[in-house]
Amino acid sequence: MSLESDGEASYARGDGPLAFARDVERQFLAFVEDHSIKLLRYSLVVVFVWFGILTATGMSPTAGLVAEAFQFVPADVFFVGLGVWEIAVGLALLFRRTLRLAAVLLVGYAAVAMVPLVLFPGETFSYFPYGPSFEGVYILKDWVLLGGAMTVAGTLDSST
Amino acid sequence: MSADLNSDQPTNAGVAFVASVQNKLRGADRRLQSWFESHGVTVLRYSLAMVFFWFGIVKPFGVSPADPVVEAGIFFLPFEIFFPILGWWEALVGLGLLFKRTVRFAVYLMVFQMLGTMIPLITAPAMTFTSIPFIPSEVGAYIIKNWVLLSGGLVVLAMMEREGKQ
Repeated sequence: MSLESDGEASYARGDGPLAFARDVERQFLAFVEDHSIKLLRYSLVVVFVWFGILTATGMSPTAGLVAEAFQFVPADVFFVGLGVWEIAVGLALLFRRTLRLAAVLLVGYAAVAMVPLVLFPGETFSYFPYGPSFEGVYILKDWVLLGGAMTVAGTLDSST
Repeated sequence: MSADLNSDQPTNAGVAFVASVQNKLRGADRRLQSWFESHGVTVLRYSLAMVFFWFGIVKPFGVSPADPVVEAGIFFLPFEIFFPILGWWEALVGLGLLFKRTVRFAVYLMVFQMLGTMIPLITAPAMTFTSIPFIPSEVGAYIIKNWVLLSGGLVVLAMMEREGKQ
């Protein structure tokens, strides 16, 4: 080995701030590689079960607007139905055999949850159509939840 | 099942029917999985990009609904300066997620921003909870959903890294 490459090697191994940053990055990437799917899956479970319980018990801060869109269903019945649906999505994400079921249920849920964007733009947007209100941003985030559930459902199969 | 395989008994027909439904469900499950496997992360990446760019870019232009909670929750930074920077930061995350080469950079930016969004849950509980700790307000629920967004970003990064190695 030449002196130069030796120098390079010790530089890469060295304990300067750059080497430290690289080390942190490597560990971070290894963590992400090993655990990110788990994190995504269980954060979806927590969000759906937790918010589902709130919806079913009528304490959800956001379900009221959705219920207004489905006025032909009595509000308390609607809340229980929607809440149970959300809880079902969360629970289905817990088992590998029902991951696809969870994603399908979530597509249905998201379709219902997004109705206020169309029916009540006055409430879901402060500046239609580019400035969503809090209700609006909350609902639009469901796209990410949907993508997340699809990714989880595609990554883990039922055999293992 | 009856021993007579050629029988036309309805019980046998019933068993065959159940088996065929099971097979169809299994097939559908497999097809769904392979579709999600090839497209799930794409949906996730672009929906994250949309959310970050959109909800970020509205901040410097004063049409974001988030200013009260950021102002109250991040009370230790000068709001007038911090809020537009936060908006551009988020918009940059959104743009970065669009291109494979910049995904890693975008997710690093996102991790810091996301940890920051959790601060109001602790510093402004009056605004983020109706009843601590189980009943979040609308703002709180919005912030809690960020756990999914953050872990979604990490998954996108992991998948991209894996793709890059192959």
